[in-house]
Amino acid sequence: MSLSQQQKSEERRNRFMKNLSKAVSQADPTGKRAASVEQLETVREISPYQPDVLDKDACLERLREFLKAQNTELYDLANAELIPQKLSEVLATKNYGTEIMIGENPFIQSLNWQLAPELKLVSNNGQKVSDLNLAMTHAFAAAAETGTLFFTSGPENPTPLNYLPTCHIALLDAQTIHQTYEQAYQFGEEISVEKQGVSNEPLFPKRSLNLISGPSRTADIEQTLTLGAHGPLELVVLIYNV
Amino acid sequence: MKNESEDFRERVHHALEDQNLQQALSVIPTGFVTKRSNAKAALPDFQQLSDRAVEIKNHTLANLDHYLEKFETAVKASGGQVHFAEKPNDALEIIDEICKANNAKLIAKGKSMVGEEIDLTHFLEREGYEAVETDLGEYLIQLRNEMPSHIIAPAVHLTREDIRKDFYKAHTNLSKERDLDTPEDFVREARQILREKFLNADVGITGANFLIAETGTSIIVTNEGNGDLSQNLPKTHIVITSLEKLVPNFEDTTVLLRLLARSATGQPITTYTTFSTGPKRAGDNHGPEQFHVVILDNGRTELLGSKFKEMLRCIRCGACLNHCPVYQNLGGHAYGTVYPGPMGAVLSPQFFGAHAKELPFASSFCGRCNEVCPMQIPLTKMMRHWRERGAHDQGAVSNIIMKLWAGLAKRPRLYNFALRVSLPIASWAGRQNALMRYAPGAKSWLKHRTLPRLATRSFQSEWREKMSKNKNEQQQ
Repeated sequence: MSLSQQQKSEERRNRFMKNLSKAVSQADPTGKRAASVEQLETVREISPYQPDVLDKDACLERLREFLKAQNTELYDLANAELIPQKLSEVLATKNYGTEIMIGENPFIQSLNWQLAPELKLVSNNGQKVSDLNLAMTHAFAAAAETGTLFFTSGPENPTPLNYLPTCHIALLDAQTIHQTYEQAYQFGEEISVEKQGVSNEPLFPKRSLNLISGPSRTADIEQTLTLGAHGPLELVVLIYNV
Repeated sequence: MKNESEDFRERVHHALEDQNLQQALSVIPTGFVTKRSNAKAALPDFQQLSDRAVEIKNHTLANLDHYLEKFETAVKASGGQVHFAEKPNDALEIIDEICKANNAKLIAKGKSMVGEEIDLTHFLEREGYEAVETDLGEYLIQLRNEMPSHIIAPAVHLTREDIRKDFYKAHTNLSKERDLDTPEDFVREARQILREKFLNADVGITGANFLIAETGTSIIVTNEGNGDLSQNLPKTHIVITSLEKLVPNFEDTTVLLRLLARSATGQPITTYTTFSTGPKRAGDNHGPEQFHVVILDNGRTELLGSKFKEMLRCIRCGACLNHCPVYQNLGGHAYGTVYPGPMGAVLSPQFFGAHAKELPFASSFCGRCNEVCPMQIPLTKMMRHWRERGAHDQGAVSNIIMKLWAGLAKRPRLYNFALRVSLPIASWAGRQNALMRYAPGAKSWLKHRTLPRLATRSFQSEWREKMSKNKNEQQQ
């Protein structure tokens, strides 16, 4: 940005803020307005949303019910060791080949893929891909309330891999299924603190937090539900540690 | 700015007579309306959430300057930039500067109503960029050079036949013999065409459904995933949005998210809900290198202290459009602005001025919009405020008529005399339907209706007679 552009941008900002502050002050006959940014919490009178509590089994059941209703294919596995074989079975029924793109994901790489010798994992470390049949990422949590998986950006689970493939395979640890969005988010904050690294950047949310509740869809052609608009045509979720 | 509200009445006639449009619109009551009703019924806490949502927005609006400042600080902390645009031209200039600085040629655009408000895509095209709408509905109307006819389903006015013609015309590199029959055929074709655009775009522009002040996060909801591809693949991500999208934190956003999709399409949640905070981080090997948020005012600040203040709670779900009998019959284009239906009848006069002044009259005041609004905005009350304002500005003829009437009404004797003389004539004329057809402006009204019969005497004269009769009876 040139100096004159910078000046102009400063002027725009200051005029904008001045107008806004004036309007907000005038529009406040109740006096329930914070004196400053720091005072905002003190004038806030909104209690949090607290739905009826579901137990663990009910959460899993609800997650299943909603994901299925949202056109998602689901498989329950007792533990993570069963993932390669199950995936091999599932993909044998589909026509997407056997090459699966993943991020630099130590968890996925640590699984015993010799149990599914025909599957080939291809790592993505930044390259753009156009045609992609299969990609696999790991959700860090899920919110049962609407069958919603939580993904976050980073080299382990590159965000584009959630959107580019025709068939998106998502892994989910059943122990990370929460009832609400808020609980899933809070869980994300907790595990970020555990993983604290050297960076000064905010730990959570990361650059991208992606809530995914089914395969891509549109109703723009005569209001008819059609899957696979720009993102995946299919979403396959393997839930392990059930 | 594309705005064609001037001949509102003419467009109403065209819309009602357009068989193709009427066929396309027939799905609204069975689709959106039923689905919303089922989704609301499936969530017993809906009302509680709606009450809370109103509190959240009222609190945010009462402290909007503080929250905007907080948002700006958080965006900067995550490596992004916030730009402030008082008027549409400011926003366009800012976006152009960013694109130029990035040597952009191809721009992938997600759906944004603020983008429509400032006519962003046309502007970018005029400036020589290739700007491609990536939401399927927006893409369809871009091919036709039309404006959206619905805030969440921009191409709801199109039939399959319309789209087939447009695709054959636009996608000339594909075989002319190909089948375009099922919705799947259209969707596959658009996917194929637009996939290349995502991958080659230099800049991605999206809107925002919400902005979180605490973390400097911008949020989009989509079902197609086009917004995500638009913002993840190009090197620069620009968010075009407006200041009333601010909410304090994540917990507030989720309250609104629970209402948004259910009120809009009747889904429990949209397929994709994405929270973007800044550009790519150290260690990331994907994501944009620049993250810009352009915040538009365009008259919203003025609304804060006005009778229209509550309109700033609107989350653009479109429920008021879907449930409005006027919208259901006309579709969005008849309104002539990018914000149609009841919410548009309130917002458009503010954003587009005189061009949209007739829109507050496009309502039967049935009140369905008030009932279905998850943000409890009294839409009909606000349309009435615009009508009151409009009433002071009705043109010379009606001003003279109103003055004559006022002069008469303020002089009781003159008023009674005028009534005595005119009532028998008016009463006689009212019975002559054939004759009344020649009265100015009466022809189209009388085509389907007969006039009610006027009384031959005024209420006042009957009242006087009744009183004197009572008096006589008492005296006897």
